[in-house]
Amino acid sequence: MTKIDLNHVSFKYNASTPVLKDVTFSMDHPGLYCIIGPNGVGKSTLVKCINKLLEPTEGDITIDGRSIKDMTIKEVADYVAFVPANSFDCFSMPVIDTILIGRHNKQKWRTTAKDLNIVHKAMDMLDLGSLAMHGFNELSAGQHQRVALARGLVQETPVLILDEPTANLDVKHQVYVAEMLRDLSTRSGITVIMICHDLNIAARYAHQIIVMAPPGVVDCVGTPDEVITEDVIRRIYGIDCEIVTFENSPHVILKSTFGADEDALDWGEES
Amino acid sequence: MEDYEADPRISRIVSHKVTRWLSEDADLEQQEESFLDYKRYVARKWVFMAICVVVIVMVMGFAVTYGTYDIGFLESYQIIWDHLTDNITNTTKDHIIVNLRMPRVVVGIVAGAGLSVAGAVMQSTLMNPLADSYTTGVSSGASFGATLAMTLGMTAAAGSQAIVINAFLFALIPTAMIISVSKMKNASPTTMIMAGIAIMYIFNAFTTVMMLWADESTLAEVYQWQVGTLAGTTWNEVPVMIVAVLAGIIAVQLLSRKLNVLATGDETARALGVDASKMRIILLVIVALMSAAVVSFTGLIGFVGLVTPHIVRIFIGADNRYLIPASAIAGSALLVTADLLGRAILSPVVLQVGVVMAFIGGPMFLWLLMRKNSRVWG
Repeated sequence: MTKIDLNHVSFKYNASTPVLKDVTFSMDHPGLYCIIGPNGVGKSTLVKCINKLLEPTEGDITIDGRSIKDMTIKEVADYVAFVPANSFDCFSMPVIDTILIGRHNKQKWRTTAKDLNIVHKAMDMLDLGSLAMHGFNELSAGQHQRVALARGLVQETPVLILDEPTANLDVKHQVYVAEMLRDLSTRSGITVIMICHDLNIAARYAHQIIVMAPPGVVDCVGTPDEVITEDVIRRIYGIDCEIVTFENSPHVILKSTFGADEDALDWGEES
Repeated sequence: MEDYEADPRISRIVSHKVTRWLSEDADLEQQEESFLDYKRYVARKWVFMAICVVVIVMVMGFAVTYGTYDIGFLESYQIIWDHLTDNITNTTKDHIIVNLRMPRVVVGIVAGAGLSVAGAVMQSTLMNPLADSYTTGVSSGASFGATLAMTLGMTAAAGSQAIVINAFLFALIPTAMIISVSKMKNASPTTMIMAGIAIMYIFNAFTTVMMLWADESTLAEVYQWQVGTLAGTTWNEVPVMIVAVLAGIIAVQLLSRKLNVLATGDETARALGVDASKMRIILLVIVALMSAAVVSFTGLIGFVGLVTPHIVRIFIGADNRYLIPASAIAGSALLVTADLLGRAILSPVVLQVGVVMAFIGGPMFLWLLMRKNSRVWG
């Protein structure tokens, strides 16, 4: 079990535009954490800070009590696996080799039976078995996403960060992947942090939801029942909705009217 | 998800698959089988390399046989064997094969290996299928450095190492340039190559200017470089070149797994614990050294580094752990074959190897440019 703490984390790409402002929360139980919030609110920036892809300009992030400032990127890679929103390969390798790259930290020069076994299990879990020897570039966007996810899983890290892992998936695979991540985090005790735009996926599968709002702050953190409310949705997204309870979890039904304030329709910057 | 129809509850299937994932040794039998499959797939790569080695040995035989003094094909191998075992029977033939014809072949092998590995590394690190030491201007930088050393008479003072060192120093200028272009946002692969070609022109112009101060004999030598040639090579040049190229290939091979990680993109690489920018600089400096060592003795042989990795990828795929050694071997085979063709095709007129490679590589370069949306581009 791994504990991640963010203490007053701020980040700016340049002096004038802060992206994250004084973000403080902690993830001290294994489980599926979903980060939701409008475009450009700093969700990707936040997870990249946890992953040391970006260095916070202020504040501190600790993993199991150790500040990631004091860790090398290799050490961070032993704790945290990261699956970016879109991945590509300039020179396409077969799916099996593409996933094997995820074993980089655990592998010696030779590929062992153990490495292959884990890769095969990951392919089995993500329904990629039949594509093992297909070139990565022959696949569709949804298949790419599942390969990238498999590459994250085979790293066998206690923390897994996913940037919109379900964005290109069809509904069946969306539900399947979300269900799988929840099940996996519960049973193996890993922490899965996922950025998600689908409120209903988040509401149904997340253990905890982190709601971000402009200008790069955490609005609230809590269970789906606590944070998926009409008030929060209106405040964050500026859109009216109705929350119904379906199969024991809140379900958001959007209305066609914007929230009270017309100016609330602020498209923001694309992230 | 084959059993969706049978059991529509996703949670059941998920639970089953996660159980399999969490279990230590699931499906041992299937695992054994897939491991064998993978081994067969890897074995194919070794077969490709073995075939290339055979080609090199064959072409080497032809290359040392070919010439005005008639020596048989098999006899050539016999003479080389006798020389190696210190059992020389015919000193004239021994001299012709070992001292006159062999250096050309050996330099061809080393140059082909060095340039091809340089190309493979540049393509993977820059994620650019058009990159090699020629198209990025690294070779031109090295060539200018070497010309400078020669016309200033540094050779007399410090020997051929001085040329290589100077070539290396000047090869670092285009290298630094490429690294900064690759950091630019929105720099497409083509932008990078355009910058490389601009650098190439600038350095080639400088080289031409240098030639104004060169004396007759140096001029002839410098001219040959600008075409790219294996002619006039002797055993004296081999050691420096072999040491630099071999050291480079070994270093790159040791980093080849990191190169695979690097080729997945900077963010993924960092997330996997590889510092992408640092690794890129290390690899490109090694490339500059290898290119400088080759260019100092053979001049500007273009396109070997560009073409070879692409051909190799068609046969064995893009995994750098195999791409690097296979490119080295295939590049050697390609260059010695091209040199032999150049000598044979318009005989007795000799086409320099750089010209032959341009005839092979130019169209290939165009073809790569045209099929932008192909697999090579992703």
